[in-house]
Amino acid sequence: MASLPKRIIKETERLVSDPVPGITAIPHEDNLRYFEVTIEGPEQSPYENGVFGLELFLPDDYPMEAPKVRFLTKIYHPNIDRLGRICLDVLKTNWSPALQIRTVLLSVQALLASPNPNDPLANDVAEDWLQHEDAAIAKAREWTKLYATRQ
Amino acid sequence: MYVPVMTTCGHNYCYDCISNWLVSNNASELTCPQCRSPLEHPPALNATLQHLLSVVIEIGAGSDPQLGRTRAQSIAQYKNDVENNILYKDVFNNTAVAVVDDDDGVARCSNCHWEVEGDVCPHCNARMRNRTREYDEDEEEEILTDDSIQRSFSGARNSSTTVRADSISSSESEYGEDLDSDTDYVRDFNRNVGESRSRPAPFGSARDILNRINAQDRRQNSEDEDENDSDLNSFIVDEAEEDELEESSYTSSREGKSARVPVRLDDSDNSGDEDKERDSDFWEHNDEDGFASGDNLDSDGGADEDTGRKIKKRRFQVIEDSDEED
Repeated sequence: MASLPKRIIKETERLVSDPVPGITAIPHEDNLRYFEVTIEGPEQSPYENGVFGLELFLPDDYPMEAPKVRFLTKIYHPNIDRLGRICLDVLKTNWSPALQIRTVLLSVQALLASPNPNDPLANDVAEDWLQHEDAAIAKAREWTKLYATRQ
Repeated sequence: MYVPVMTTCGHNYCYDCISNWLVSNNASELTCPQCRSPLEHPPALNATLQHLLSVVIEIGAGSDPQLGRTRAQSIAQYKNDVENNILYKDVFNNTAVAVVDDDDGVARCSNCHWEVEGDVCPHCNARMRNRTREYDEDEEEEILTDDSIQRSFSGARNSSTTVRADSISSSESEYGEDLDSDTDYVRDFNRNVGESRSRPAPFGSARDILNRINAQDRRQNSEDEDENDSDLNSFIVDEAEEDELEESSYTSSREGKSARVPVRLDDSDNSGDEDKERDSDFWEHNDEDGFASGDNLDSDGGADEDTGRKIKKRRFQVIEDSDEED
């Protein structure tokens, strides 16, 4: 494998030395472009008290190309499908090389705090969310308890 | 940063870096990475900053030979681009319009007629002034849901998607591929649906032949249902088979399997009790050279029809043979 770009090394160092509150990102031993990520559910959200596992991969073209991020923990969220894929503008069209791993993960955390059922990825969840918001939030809470409890 | 350039919005970048971004960026508009404001004019050299930086570099790194070399390279690159008038690989001037071909619905670059995906022509690097982004995954899925054939199989499709969720391995090499292959899968799906629509005939006629050849009692109804769906089911099952079968998908793909090989099911039914009847009737009509017996000629009463039947029969025989090998 080609040597790691300086930018990735710097970002990794900073993630470890100065981590974002509620977020951890640990590079994989074998592949420093692959990170094991955990994000704590934001307070006041249905995901409160949950710890969600994600994986993050920096493609070869990073930072010209957005990192690939995916939820590994099951989550009931209108913008996250059952594959764990995330519908988030900064991961797709709105990516900019000025963004970093930490800013992307912060955006993901913000997405948990403010689900957007009007631009859904998981259609069934979004429908549920729009029609019976209370029930959907209750279900999200339940799933958080079921799947995202810290071991 | 040896060749700092400043955008119209006032942000400074290294020439190499911003150039890479502007060239690789597949969006319709060139934007500043920092503030996302659209860039209509190429960033210009910031000579003051360059001077300042050179002072800083000299103080900080002194006469590091490695640094000196990269610095000379960067400056040479910039000078070369200026002289040849290809700053930023000409992305600010090189534009075209994506024209959708009425015949095949493919968007093409108006400069070179190359097929355009995204907003930059992969052939001449021209940036499309009109957006072509609509040809994305979302669009394809929309087509799928509208498709009447797809609707009847939405159950199976959904379940195979579930398999992916469970089977996507967490190793980084497969990670990207899996996500991508999901898109491919949708594309394959479209293609397969299209194909199966365009050639439903073989299955209908094959069934007729099958009924005539095996003139014994068989469970016609269930067979008919299976036959009608067999083509579509077969590829759905293939998709599911690629994944490890787990959880809910397991049942559905099993259904798919049994539906996919109706002929084989009949086979196994017959092999026990009706073996002898099959031998006399079936094998006579399925001679190795595909030659039909006299009985058949009479019953059909036409040489033309017979040739047609011969071909069809062969087709059927192939299916039988391959199934028996299993």
